[in-house]
Amino acid sequence: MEQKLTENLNIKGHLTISKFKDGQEDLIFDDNNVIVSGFSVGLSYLFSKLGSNSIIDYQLDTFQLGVSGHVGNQVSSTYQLSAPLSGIEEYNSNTDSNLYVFSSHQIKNSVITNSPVPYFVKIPFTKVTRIDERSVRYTIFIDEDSCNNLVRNGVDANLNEIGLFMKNPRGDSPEASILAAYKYFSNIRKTDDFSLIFRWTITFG
Amino acid sequence: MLTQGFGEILTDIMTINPALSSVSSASAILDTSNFTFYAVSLSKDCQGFKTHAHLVSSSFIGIGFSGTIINSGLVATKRYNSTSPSSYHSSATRQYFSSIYTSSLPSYPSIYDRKLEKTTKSSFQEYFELTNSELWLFVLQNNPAALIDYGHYANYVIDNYNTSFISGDTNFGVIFNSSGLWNIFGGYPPSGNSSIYFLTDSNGTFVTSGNLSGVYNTQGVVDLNGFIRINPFVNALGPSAGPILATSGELSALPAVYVKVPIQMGDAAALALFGGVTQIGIWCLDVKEMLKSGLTPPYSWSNVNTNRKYKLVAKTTFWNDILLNDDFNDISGLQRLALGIGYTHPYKGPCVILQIKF
Repeated sequence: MEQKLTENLNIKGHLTISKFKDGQEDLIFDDNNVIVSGFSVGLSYLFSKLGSNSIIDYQLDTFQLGVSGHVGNQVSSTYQLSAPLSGIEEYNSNTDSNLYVFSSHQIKNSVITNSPVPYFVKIPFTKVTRIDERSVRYTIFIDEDSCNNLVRNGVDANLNEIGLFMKNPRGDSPEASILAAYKYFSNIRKTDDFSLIFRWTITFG
Repeated sequence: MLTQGFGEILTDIMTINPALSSVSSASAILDTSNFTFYAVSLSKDCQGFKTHAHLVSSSFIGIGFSGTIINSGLVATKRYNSTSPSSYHSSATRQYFSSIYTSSLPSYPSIYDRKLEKTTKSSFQEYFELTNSELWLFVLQNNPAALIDYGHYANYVIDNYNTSFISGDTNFGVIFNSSGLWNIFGGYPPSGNSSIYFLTDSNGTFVTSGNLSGVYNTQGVVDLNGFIRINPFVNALGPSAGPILATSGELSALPAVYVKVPIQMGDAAALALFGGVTQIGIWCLDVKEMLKSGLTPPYSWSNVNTNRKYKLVAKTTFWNDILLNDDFNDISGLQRLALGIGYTHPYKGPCVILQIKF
């Protein structure tokens, strides 16, 4: 019986979201996530030796947040967020924001595109933690100065989706990232009253 | 089946510090070749390492080049199959020795496996260990790497320790070096036609013989410990390439990689006589362990270099010996394997294609 990598090796993702305010942390979301086909495509480039020659191009080093997530997107064929934040100003609510945001290219359904321009947020390497021999945790901290009071088409927009991206598996120039893991979560109206901590753990078997 | 070793490799990849790219003395660690599929190995059932051509019968003493089976380059075996009399059926041997050969299947595969088979010591090796003989001590002291139990066929013939050993042991009063044990410990024949297979029936009556020329050793792709280097070039053309990494079409549509493992001619015939192949493993380099040992990249291949450390990342197990051979058109099954007769594709032997679907 043929099995895909995620089934064969039992690769799982798990996401928790906590609200952090006045020194107190409250868990507001706790669920498994979906490893999407982009992760498989990236690994196939690595193990076929047809992609980038640098191992860091296969690391999950950026993320996107979005405001139009839905359950239907939680399938392995998902290759993009429904409505990712569309500019630096949406991530960095003011100049004190700690998020490093940049625009780049994205592989969507095997095509490289920068239209509309995708924006990514760097995950500092210090926030990438080996939990054990087969688990990695990505800690994403959305501080009080980031992603606040989002509005789309004159209507309040709530954070409700997040994606992890593999850096540049095909070795493209300019770099092109691919969505590797996705999660839809219940609406969070982010304001400058609090911070959010996403802890995303991926276990490889 | 991918093993937990594969998960460990992925974790290494995801957590290696990207800042190493700016350190000239360490940036080579980030090369993908340190993390991708590096070698394959072949194995069989545990008890199979004590029978088949590993078993030295008194019938064979005196037929070797130097008056003994040891150090002769002669792979001598009794066959117990009644059909295809000039072929070797490992299953018939298992059946004949069923009172002591109690488990004819390879160990059940598990994602927790670190090697293919739990033990691959031949009765010959065990004899040396138990008797603490001069020969065993000689090998142990001079080339202990050659006797590590990797769980698969080793390649003793390229043992590069050349000092001859003169034994006072009356049972093995011969002059030889440890590479001369390959025809008992098993594995891969040397290049050229310097070795011979010799098949008798169960009574010891001669049936057939022929030359063995090891393809993997000719290509220099199998090391002393039995790791067979996968050709570093993708979609390399056979047959002079060893195991080959291949793809099929657009990776976005079919994210899969193929590892083609040709088992050709002398290799196929010798392995068939040693009990065949029922397990294939895929290995990556264990970079973390190598760095701990002071071994830094780039890691160039050398078949006589045994200091590489490997991690099992995938294995496949077969119910039946994939080197099952039969006589056909009055040509011996072993001869067909040894000479590649009847194989229309360029590999001149069976070629196992493993698909890793991502």
